Amino acid sequence: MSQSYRLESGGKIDRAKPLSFTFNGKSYGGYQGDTLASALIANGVKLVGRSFKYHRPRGFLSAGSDEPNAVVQLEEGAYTDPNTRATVVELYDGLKAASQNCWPSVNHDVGEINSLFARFLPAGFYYKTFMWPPKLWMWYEERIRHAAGMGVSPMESDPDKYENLYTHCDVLIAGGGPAGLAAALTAGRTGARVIIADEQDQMGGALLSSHDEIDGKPAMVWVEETLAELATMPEVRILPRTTVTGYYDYNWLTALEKVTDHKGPGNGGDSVRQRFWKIRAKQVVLATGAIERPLVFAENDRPGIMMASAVRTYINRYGVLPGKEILVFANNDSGYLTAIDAIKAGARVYVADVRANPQGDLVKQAEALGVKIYRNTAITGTRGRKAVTGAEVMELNEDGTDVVGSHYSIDCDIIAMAGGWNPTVHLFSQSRGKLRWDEAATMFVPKEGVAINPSRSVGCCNGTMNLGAVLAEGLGAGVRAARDAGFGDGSAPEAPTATIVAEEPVRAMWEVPCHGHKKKFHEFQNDSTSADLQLATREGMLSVEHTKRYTTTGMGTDQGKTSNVTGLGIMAAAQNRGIPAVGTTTFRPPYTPQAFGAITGQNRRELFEQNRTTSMQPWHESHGAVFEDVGDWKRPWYFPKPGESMHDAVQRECKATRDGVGIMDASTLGKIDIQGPDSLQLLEMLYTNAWAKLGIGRCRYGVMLNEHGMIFDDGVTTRLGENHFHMTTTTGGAARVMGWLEEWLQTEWPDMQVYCTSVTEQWAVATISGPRARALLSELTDIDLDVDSLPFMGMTEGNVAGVPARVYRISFTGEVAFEINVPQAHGLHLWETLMALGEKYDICPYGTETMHVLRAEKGFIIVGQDTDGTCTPMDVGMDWIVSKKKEDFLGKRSFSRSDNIKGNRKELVGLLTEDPKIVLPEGAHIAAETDPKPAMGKYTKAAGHVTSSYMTPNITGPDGEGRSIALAVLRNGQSRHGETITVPLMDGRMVKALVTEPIFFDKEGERTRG
Amino acid sequence: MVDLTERVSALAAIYETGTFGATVDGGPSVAFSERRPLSIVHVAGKPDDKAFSDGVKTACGCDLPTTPGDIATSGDLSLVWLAPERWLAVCPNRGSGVLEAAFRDACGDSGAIIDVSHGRTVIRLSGANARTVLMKGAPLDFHKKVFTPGRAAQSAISQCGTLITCPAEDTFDVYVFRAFGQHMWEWLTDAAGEFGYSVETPAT
Amino acid sequence: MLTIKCPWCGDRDLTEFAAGGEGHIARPLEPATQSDAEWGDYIYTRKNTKGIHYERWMHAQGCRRWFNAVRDTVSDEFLAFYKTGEPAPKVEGDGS
Repeated sequence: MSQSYRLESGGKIDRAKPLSFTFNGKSYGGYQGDTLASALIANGVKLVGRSFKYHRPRGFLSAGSDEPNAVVQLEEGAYTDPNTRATVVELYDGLKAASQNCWPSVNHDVGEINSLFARFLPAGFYYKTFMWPPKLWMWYEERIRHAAGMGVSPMESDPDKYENLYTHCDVLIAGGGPAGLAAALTAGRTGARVIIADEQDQMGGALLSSHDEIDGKPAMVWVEETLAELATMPEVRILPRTTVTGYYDYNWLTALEKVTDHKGPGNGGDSVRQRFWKIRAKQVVLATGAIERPLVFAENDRPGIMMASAVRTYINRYGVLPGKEILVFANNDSGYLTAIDAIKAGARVYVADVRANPQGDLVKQAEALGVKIYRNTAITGTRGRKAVTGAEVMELNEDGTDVVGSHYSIDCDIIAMAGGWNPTVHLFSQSRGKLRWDEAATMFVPKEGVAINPSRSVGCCNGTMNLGAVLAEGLGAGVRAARDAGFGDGSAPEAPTATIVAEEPVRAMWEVPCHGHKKKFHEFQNDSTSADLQLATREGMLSVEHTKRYTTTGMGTDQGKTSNVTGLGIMAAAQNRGIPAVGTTTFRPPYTPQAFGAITGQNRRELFEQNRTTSMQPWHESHGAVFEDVGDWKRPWYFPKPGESMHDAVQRECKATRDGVGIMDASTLGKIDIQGPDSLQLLEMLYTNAWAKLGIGRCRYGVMLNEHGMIFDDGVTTRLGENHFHMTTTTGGAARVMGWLEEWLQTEWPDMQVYCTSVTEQWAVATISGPRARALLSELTDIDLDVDSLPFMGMTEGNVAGVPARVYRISFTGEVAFEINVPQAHGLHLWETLMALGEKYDICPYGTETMHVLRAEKGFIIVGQDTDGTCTPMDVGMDWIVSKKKEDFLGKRSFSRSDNIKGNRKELVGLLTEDPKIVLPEGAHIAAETDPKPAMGKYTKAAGHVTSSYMTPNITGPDGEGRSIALAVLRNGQSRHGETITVPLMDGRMVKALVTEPIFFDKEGERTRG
Repeated sequence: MVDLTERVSALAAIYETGTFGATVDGGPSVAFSERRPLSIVHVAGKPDDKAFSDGVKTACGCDLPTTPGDIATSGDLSLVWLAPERWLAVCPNRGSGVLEAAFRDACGDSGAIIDVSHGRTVIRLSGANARTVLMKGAPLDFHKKVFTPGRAAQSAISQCGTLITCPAEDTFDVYVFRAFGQHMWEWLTDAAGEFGYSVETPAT
Repeated sequence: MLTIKCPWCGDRDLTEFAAGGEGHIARPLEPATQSDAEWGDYIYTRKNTKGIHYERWMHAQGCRRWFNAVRDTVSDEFLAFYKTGEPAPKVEGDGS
């Protein structure tokens, strides 16, 4: 395919490196250095996509990241990327792209029929039409989204790698155009750490597309010299292909670096595809340039209607002349730069200028070159279905509100819009900077930033459009930013001289008048027209944020980069007030779309979440344990034998432990070493019970309350010495308890001499439990396990399996149990030794599910399951653990608060279902009424809920087999033992259950103490 | 009897020496190793309590570093500032409980000495890209002029609390709770993949 | 993303810290003598200031020390950091 729009010479493409690619299945050629857009334009492709709402044919509008129209599906399969702007995709060999938002093809799009019904699709159409009935909205939404589809997400896992990278610098410069480079130069010379990032593959910004001169030489010579000097500075980092996407508080900025995207899928080698930078900068220099505005005239959306600056970029940077007959439509002088470059490149060029009588230097230059200029003239309509073929122009009246006289026609294949410039204030606004409306320049410019985000805006993004002034601003800002970061004295070198063009003022014309009802688009991606904005105003949408959402202005993937300010101008006129009074919508990060993959970085798949494993984990894994997450920990849930269901395994484990001996990995329990002369005093405040009389080598159970008097953790604490304790906490509560201790010690009781250190990770813990536990342990320890030497709630030290150990006689199962603590690196050895020796005792490894069942049989609570932050010790039947003698402990005062003494509290009870085979779902509500034959829907109030519920083989039902048990919280439950309550289930069943005391097994505790 | 010097590393199941990741001109630019076996003791006390500070000096041979992030060294032992009144003493394994006992004997009832030798996994990274690997995970400033040899900082990598020390130029030790050891190893080596990395024999 | 100056470790990322709410709320020395209203104030009532706020932070992924800060809740600007136990500095614009 010939590149018939490619110029013979010129541009910054490498003609020695031809590339081939396909678009919508058709092959084309381009060159290294092209973008997908420039290559398509070189091949004469103008129609590239369909618009969002009306499915109108659309072409390329811009040559950069502001592109709203040329949004394509890039690549296929796992590598596919939807909503990619063809204007920023660097061409590589073999690239595949396709139009999106059209069916069956971009040339024959069924959805275009929407266009015929356009008068029935006004602003707010979806809201108005699909509001009723409300429950159908989800149904409507799915269909609307399908019709409006914005590209297709990949269905396969992303094969590429991404990473995050944190960095710090003294001066971050966003934008590598003349202002940014100048700032980098002077900041870098001070020795400061400088990062300069630019979204393009080369530094230079607008200079890449211009014929400007600096110090009498082509501007790109200055760019090369600057880059060469920067390359010699070790503390300067130059990041091309990197867009600063977000500006957050305290000068924390994010930037997306496309490391290998330009090489094409699968060609990145070992490198990450994209790198997501998280940059903390002492000072920021914003040199983000400006974005040209379209003019909102009748039928301004046909393919071939482009931004004037984009036409210039295609000519100068890519050596592509987009059209043979170019009509420039301008309200300011910058359109003449395009006219001049286009006529020099061989096009026939016309200019329609809305200004009454422009006579600036550029105008005269253009006229001298043979550009035909229509002054005081507006475009009032365009022709061409899939590409523009001509325009109709008319003279403007004096105040520009109407067109007068007769119209005449101009044939053209490109209309280049020069509607003025919008400084790219996005990052500045994200930093909470305030904007100022410059009426003369018709642009929002930075007014003042906030103290926590020190930044300087320079160059075009500051409203400074003249190259010499841009360079001076950049040089000054760089050196002052460095000074404020602690480098250099802030004195800037003299700025080089640069091309100066005396420009005449812009003539603001937010909506170009025409006769008749023709669509004038200000927002191309979402098909929002000036009439939509005016309708929104008539319907009462005065706030800019409301209008935005009502008309979807600025809500596309381009976030309204080209459309926002023109939209504001039209709104302001409709509301008969000034643009500053209308205000802007909020600029939010990211500046350009960024892939979730890049944000996620390495933290995907097996690295998504941190895993915490005990030293015994290898055994669990090799013996088929099924794991559950408890906090960060992976804990064995149950150990199924081949063919066993979870139910089978848990029933077996429960029975084996009660009948013989079970073993469990309890290493995850939180453990805190407490030392210091005031340790006891601390415990007395933390726990509800009394600790003074606890002997050395003795253990005690305690509950911790918050100041609201509610249980938040429990555990056993052991006295190791006079002033030395070993506290255990729940697995999930370990960090919380440690934090609780530290908080009180540091903030309220700094005079207490206590040192708390987490030793959770130091100790591996195997708990053996059951009637044969003692016999097993006695085989591998020198410790005297006799009940008199090591009674229940006692601790002793000795060797177990040849390893120095602490053995605690603590029981969470209600059996004789030993918690054997050894240094973690010997944990696996301990476990394996116990398993080997335990074989003859039929030792049974069990997981957390069996632990839950066994403790529920005994009515031992699990904090956070049976309690929920509203339970006092009394509510769970633990009056016995609350000291009546202690004057104070955390939470005590709250016991007598009115809500806690008013009665009718939810209290812990046991439940036995009438049908012993029904296991109540945990969380099921208990009905407040006791009507024996209630109708569905009658229960309006809950009297409590089921907190724990299991099937157990250890408690037998009437049939002599195992039965279900449950714990629940029930209003006034402690005085309702013996009552029958009803639990309505989701499936409609009404389950009757007997309220009991919350203990089902060995109520006297004889087995525990034995 | 068990040989108590034979500690099972948290990395035992995945530790493999060799060269991994990208093939890069000039070879791998990050080297990993596990530092083990180590004696690690958590030392707490008031620096103005003379019995305590003298005891620490007697036990390990160096003064308590009191500047945040500083590391004092004496022979093969490092004393790392963790927090006001908190330090970590680290040295090659001296035997079960030996280092702890040395501190306790020297400090008497002053302060608190807790053996945490088994509770930490220590991963050493060295080489030209060691800093960059860490920069992928922690928001600290790893610049050569900022994170210099003899400095330490605590932060988080992949949501795991870490102590990172810089014992020598381009060399960093990452301390995590033992139970996070395997995750941290996998995370850091994944981060180093693009540079190519080697895994060396564990050493103290 | 706030930068918070830990009085010991210096400037660090917000991600390393845990917020501790309003500062300078002392636990009553004799809770038993507190009226329900007084005790309720202590455990529930907070100023929820728009503007200058004296608050607590903890360097959770660092030295694990609690400390105090003065922050303008409108601008998010920190005006002072100080150690627990030190008196609250007076800052400009503090209406309390």
